[in-house]
Amino acid sequence: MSIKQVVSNGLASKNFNYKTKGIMGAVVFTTALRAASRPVVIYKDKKADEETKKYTAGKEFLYQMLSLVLTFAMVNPAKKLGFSFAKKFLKDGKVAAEELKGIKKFDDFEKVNLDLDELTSDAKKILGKGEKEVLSPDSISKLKLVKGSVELFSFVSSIVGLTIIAPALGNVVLHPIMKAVGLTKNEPTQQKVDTKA
Amino acid sequence: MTETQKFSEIMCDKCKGAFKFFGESENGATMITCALSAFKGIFRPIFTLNDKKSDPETKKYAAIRECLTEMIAIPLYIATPWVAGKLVDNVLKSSNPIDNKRMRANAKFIGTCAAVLIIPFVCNVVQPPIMAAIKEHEEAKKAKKSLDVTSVADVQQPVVINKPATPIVSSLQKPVAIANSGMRVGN
Repeated sequence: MSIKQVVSNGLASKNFNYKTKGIMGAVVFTTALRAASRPVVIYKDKKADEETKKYTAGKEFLYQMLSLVLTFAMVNPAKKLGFSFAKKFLKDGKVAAEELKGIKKFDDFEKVNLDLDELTSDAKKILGKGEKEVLSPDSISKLKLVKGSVELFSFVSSIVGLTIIAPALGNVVLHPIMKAVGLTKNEPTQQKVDTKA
Repeated sequence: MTETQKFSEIMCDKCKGAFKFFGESENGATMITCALSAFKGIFRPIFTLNDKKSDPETKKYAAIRECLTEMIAIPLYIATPWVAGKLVDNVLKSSNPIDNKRMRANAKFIGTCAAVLIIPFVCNVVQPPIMAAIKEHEEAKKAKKSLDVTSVADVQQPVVINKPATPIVSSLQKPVAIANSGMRVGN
């Protein structure tokens, strides 16, 4: 097997796609990556003193953890709201009665939405499809409207959570936590590495 | 149908375009990371400037740094997934269209994660000269301001010659006008 084939097979992985799918997947993984990488980059800065590095790296790690917690707290309910909104009010949702008949709750929709082009066996059971059946393009486009509603609600809740609530909460919550942990140095006036993004 | 239901249906019709866009887009990760960077570039500096625990100079530099970081991040969040997608389309293309779609989605996701790792290093290169230039400019401004204040204080005092003169004559002797009167405000 050539390197190209190995890489292609790896990239075509269904499990990887299922876990990283959607806006929530992107936000969770990128936030977790930031929480892991940025404190390390800050700590490797040779020009800052030890205490400053410890303080800044600790604060950055705590901030990203706070963002992660907020993501789970806000985006999951927003996705369910998006699904309910689409199912109840979306015109095509009503027209797509056949597709949405078996999808009673959000968890069922998540199983169907994993891959609309190649349904899993669970998804087929939920949709009442046979083992070899596939969805018609019309059904796929209707289910994508429902998916779009879920994604739009995730999008808005991520932005509100991570750009407004996280910085505001950070100002209030991080100082006491850092004091409790023993990181109480005043913030340095200038840092070489600013990784707060 | 009630009025609320009619309104909901009208709103849903209007939102359908947005739902279709989000439902069919392959660039969800790129969109959310760019949007987050854009909003963070606006809101984090605002929160930083409103932090009462830090001194004004520190807050100003921190806010500029945060805005600069997000401005550097946005093009990287667009470029790396795009490059990853192109790599899949041109180099790793498969005969199965479903596999292609999945490969493109996974590659773009990996590209987004790569951008997260690259951004601090790019900031390390780009930010210091810009922050140094801003600091230099601020210091030059301060120096010029303090020079202006000093030059005003150094102006010669008016000379009043005390001659034993009649009251009418002495009252007509006015002090010499100060050339630079008052403090210069701003630049």
